[in-house]
Amino acid sequence: MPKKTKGLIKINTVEFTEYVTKFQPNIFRLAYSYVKNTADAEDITQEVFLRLYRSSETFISDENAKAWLIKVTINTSKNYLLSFYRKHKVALTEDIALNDEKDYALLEALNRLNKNYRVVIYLHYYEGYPVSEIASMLGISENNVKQRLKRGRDKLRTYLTD
Amino acid sequence: MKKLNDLYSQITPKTSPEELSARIMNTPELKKSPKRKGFRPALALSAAAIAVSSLVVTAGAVNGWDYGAVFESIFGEKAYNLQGNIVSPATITKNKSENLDISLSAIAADKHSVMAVLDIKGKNGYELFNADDENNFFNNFRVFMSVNPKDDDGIYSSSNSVHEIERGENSLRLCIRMDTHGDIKGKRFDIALSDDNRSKSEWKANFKADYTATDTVYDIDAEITIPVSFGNTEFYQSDKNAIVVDGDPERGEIVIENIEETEIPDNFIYGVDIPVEYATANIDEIGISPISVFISGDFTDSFMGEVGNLDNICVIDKNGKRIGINCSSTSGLEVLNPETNTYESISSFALIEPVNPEDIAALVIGDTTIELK
Repeated sequence: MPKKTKGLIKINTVEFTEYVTKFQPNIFRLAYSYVKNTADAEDITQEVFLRLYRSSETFISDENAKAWLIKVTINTSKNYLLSFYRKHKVALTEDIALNDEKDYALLEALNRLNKNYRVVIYLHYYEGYPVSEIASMLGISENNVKQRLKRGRDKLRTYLTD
Repeated sequence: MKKLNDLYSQITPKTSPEELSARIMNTPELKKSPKRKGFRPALALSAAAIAVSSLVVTAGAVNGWDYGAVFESIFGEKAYNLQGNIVSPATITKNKSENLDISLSAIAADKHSVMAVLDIKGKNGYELFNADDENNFFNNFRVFMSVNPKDDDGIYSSSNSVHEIERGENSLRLCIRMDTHGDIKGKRFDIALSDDNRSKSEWKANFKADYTATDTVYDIDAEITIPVSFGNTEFYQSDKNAIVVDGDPERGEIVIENIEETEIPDNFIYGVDIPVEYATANIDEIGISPISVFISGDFTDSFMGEVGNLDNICVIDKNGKRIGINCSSTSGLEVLNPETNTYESISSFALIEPVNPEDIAALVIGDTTIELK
């Protein structure tokens, strides 16, 4: 966890811009895993980096910073979902340009998954976090993470062979 | 999983990093908030504070609390629903405020929520409702309630909400409510009032959720069926009130009906046939206590988008009257189920006034009515 230094603004504008450059896509993808649409994911990404800009966090490494940003993204996304987003909606994928027609099917299948499965799949398979770290980020047990990964994979397989 | 990685790599934000950085750093309303300046009475407190320690609140009739007078003044006759939920008296551990008289008038709790009533009066010339925003109570003080760290084994993530119940000439009655996802019975709590700009509290109390009530949460086990995707426009418009699952709540069954008419969303795909899917989920627990509704994660995760806005929750009594509109919610947290030793997700929704769980006929979540027969 990042070490907090009260009262000091540790991140200067150069560092801030570097963090945005390095991690914006990751944060965006994680937010997208929660909300399933790019407009809301953009809003959440901005909110997360705004918190970073306003915070007095100091990080000992990029990985440290990334872990902090991911934790904030998880919380921000959860709050976002609860606050006002919930309306009848058909998941659309037209606002994401993908290379291959098969990718659209995969994205659609991913978006059909329960968000709990989607998020652990993203964190494990794309971000490469081990089960123990995902458990810590999400505040759940390692067994729960493993269970979600397995169920998520199974469901994904089912959806893709439908 | 290479395909997954390829796919994620293609999901990219439209805003460039440079644009996002510039937007955050250059837009005035997004800049760091400037420090407020000006005279603040709360900061002018003398060091000669009034020290009151270990002062046990003893006024009142039930368990040390004047339960009837306080909660009846807030909730009227519905206060009787809270009977038996009164916690043990609190201990005031700090009272250093020269500008405020603070008294803790009542506390009630259920399995996951605590409500505390604070009576606050301005004194020594301090005006609670000073027209100058810089100086009034609401801009200078914060009230916060939490599980004592010694009793917090990590599952007591919580939310606080503060409601103004009554306002006098220079007095205020607040109801502070805290919702948690762990069973709070027997846990110790801290409640503090502090100056916004001070790290130390001016007033602090602690108490134990040691109420004697039996389990007041009314649990319902059920299996529900609900559409998870809608067909074309025609289906969307015509298929109302279609979902009926007969059941008997006494046997752990439930009835869902009346998927209310909803406007067709802007992004609905007109003329495209999408197979209608129905999904079944177990509601491990819908719990209704006098002051909360609890809904399992199975439901919220699977159907949040389908039932509508989860913030719109209320209960309907047997006379058809809407009661207990929710005022705050806590969700997405995992609670350890000691019976199965697994983590389960639960959302709790605070009811703004107490209800009698036995009198509830239906629970309305967003656009969906769940009838409890």
